[in-house]
Amino acid sequence: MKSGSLLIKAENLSFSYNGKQSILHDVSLPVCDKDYLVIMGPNGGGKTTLLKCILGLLKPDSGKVRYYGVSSREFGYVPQFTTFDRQMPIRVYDFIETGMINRYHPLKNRIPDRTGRVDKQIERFSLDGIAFSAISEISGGQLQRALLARALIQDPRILFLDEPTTFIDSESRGNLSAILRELNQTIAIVMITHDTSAIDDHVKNIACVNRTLYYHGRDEHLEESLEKVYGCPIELIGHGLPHRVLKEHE
Amino acid sequence: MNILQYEFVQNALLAGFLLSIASGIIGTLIVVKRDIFLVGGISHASFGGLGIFYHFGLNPILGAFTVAFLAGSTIGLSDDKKLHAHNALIGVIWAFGMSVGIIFLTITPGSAPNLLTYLFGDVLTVSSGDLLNIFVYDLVLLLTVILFYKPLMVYLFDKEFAQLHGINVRVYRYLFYLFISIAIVLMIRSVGIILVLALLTIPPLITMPFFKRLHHIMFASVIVCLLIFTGGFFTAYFMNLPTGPVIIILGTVLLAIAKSLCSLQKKYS
Repeated sequence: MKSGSLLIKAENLSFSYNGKQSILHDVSLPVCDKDYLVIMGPNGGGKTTLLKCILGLLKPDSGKVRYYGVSSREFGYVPQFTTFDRQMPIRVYDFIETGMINRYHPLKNRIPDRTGRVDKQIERFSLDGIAFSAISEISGGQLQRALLARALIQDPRILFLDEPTTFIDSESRGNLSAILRELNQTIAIVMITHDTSAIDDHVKNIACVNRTLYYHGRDEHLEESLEKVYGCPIELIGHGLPHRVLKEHE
Repeated sequence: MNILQYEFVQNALLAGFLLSIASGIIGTLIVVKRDIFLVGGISHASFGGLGIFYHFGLNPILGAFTVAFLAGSTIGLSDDKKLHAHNALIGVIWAFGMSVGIIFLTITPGSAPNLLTYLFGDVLTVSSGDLLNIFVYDLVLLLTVILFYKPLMVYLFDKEFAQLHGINVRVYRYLFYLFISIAIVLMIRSVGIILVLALLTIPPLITMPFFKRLHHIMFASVIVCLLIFTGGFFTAYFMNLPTGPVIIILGTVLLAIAKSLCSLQKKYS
């Protein structure tokens, strides 16, 4: 595992709904500075639950998540499209601004350097043309960029993405992967996906989660481990992820 | 003959104005959060509290409020991601509350006329005390929405994101149900339990397709609510019909017109 100092460490996390259905069992996972970690696994395998435990949105039944020199305020979060209501009456501009909601003060009724920061994100993600459209009117790829803009507006140290490629076309996927690569020069990235083709050669670590953690790191056992997780062989090379490429980065 | 010179008419119109402010704002939040069914449950369940308090000689409106808030909190605690169970719970609370209310009002001697007043309301019976209550409520609601507009929007839109950024989602949820419960109770006397839901939801349903921002929808809903309230009131007065139902029928007609306009606009744009 190459990369910087430890930022987050999940230790022996277990989680269940109503104490019955076990979703996660004894999962440990580190996130380092400038890491590019992809958490893979089948649908319903507990990826999102793991991410929510790491973010502090869910409390695990047992185990701990430790932050080393970072706080949840330094997290950027791009949730799944399905977690929020696209019909909500809000303009792209105001939507991006909500990324600074923790700086909001009811009596001052304004956020410091609001316009400057929002404008910067709008330019960065080429959202100028649709800044004053409602989010119900924009395309999946545009919404994805707006979500990224909202997550990045406070210059987070870690960016978390939950299934970012599900509802976007292949061109937007290419753009997303380029954006993430560039971001990874300065910040850590943790991305959840069930889509093996979403992984490109800049990914530094891969974790496979299906109730428990099957693999973490970058070695040749990835394919075997994915097979275990998905329950069938996964043709990684066909999807553009030869472990040979991962190896070259060593 | 000028009907405006009667005090009860003045009170009714003032009540319509003040209630439109409450209804336009709270109604917008309810429609945007897609909690219409929940609000139907709360308002009908409140009839149970009303009946019980009435039976024991207590202030029935206080009973309605107590049950409205309890029902709101109970439903709010259930996980709205498990939609099926959530809706079932709302349905049960809705029917149970109504049944309890009807039984208690029936076993109380001489309460039959009151039963109808609470179910359908009568804006002509609004007192100056009621007006003051609605006025204070409007002030508090406006102040809260203005001061906490942005966090409120994040709460409505994306709860997890709100939580991640240190917004206490639980506080917002309880405040939300508290405001809804009080709004329902304030509206019972004017439009009645059965029609509260319609007055809350019809104006935002009319205005939503025409605006992109939450506070624009709120403002437009207040105006629309005021229009249908005043229009319905005068129609009912001159045709000698009950006010509440006429208001709602007028609202429904407007909603149908607005929806047709909207689909025409989409077709030709």
